[in-house]
Amino acid sequence: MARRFLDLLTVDRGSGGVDSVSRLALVSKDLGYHCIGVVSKARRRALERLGALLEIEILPVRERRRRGSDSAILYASGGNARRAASSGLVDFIIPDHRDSVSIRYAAENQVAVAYPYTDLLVERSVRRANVISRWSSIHLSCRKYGATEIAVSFATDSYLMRGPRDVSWIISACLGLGEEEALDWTSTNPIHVVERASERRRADA
Amino acid sequence: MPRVRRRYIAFEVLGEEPVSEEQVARAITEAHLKFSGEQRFSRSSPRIISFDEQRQIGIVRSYLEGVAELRASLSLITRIAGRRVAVNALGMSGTLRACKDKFIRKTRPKALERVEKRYEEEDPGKLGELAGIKALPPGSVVRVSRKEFLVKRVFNDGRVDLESDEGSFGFTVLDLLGSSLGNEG
Repeated sequence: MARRFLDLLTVDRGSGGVDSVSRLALVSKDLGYHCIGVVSKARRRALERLGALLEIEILPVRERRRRGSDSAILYASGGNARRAASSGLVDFIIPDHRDSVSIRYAAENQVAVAYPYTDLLVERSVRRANVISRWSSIHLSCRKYGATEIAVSFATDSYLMRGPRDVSWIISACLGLGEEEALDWTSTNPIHVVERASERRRADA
Repeated sequence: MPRVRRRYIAFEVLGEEPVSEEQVARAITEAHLKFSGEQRFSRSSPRIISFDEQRQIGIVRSYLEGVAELRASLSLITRIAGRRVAVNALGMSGTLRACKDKFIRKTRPKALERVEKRYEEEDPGKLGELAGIKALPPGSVVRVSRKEFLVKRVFNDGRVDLESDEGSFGFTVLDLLGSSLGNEG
């Protein structure tokens, strides 16, 4: 069966990025994605209309900072990741590489751990090596606790987006994974995140 | 002597401005050397076989042993000759002929082509408007989300680069058409 590819974290112009939602969606569609998550202030209905026109699913994504239910896919990063993972109220986290406790909580609550590959694209030389080293450290903890791992672009600019197969090659080269396992990071694993998010929203309602 | 097994990777360059074959070759070599190091570079020995400067599509040859790292290195290229780009691998094949047949001659229809086809059937007026937007020359003034921008470049695949005194921004012809969001998206 053909794989369905997802990039669950991009940022549009109204939320700190430089590209419009339609630019992010158009480029994602051309790169081979079937679904993208966008941090955007655009209305949900407008995103659905655009998605229908471009034949790509566009999901609203928000960073969870405050308590309360939300209709989007939620993520937490850095210092907020541990609390968010322990409560299970987010769908994925971007943890600090030294914070294995967050990863353990994430594994316990079926919260996925995301790797933003834009970090790898924008950094050079030693800084890029440091990103790979941090990824390796997070990956070891994910393996230890059994956390689900996903690759996200976290792109604020469509020139920082890469096709799902290219992302799998990057992950495979940096972390030494097999091709099929690396492909799961942009297909099977993010699908579980979307399913978990809809279950969480049903429970909130 | 054992036969050296090769792979051919078809790729496209999506960038702010078109780039030349020489610039692409240099960027691939530099990116691969930086990412993989000299010893691993020797396992792939990348070589540009062809590059269509009109379509910005090319083929790079590699030894099978180092092809994985070469593909990763291609994806990590973000600038060529100082211009922002994304290098997107279209596919990989074991022979040059298969690579050309599968990925160069037959390319998938772009998202905008499908939108245009739909407009052609449902709303031909919008198709005419889209054609007008695609023909906008650089330097034209356009209004998006109640703000004025200067057109830097309109691409065939529907991407539009605009600039204002706040910087450069990426839009699409659909934003200019106002049919997609009609707000600050």
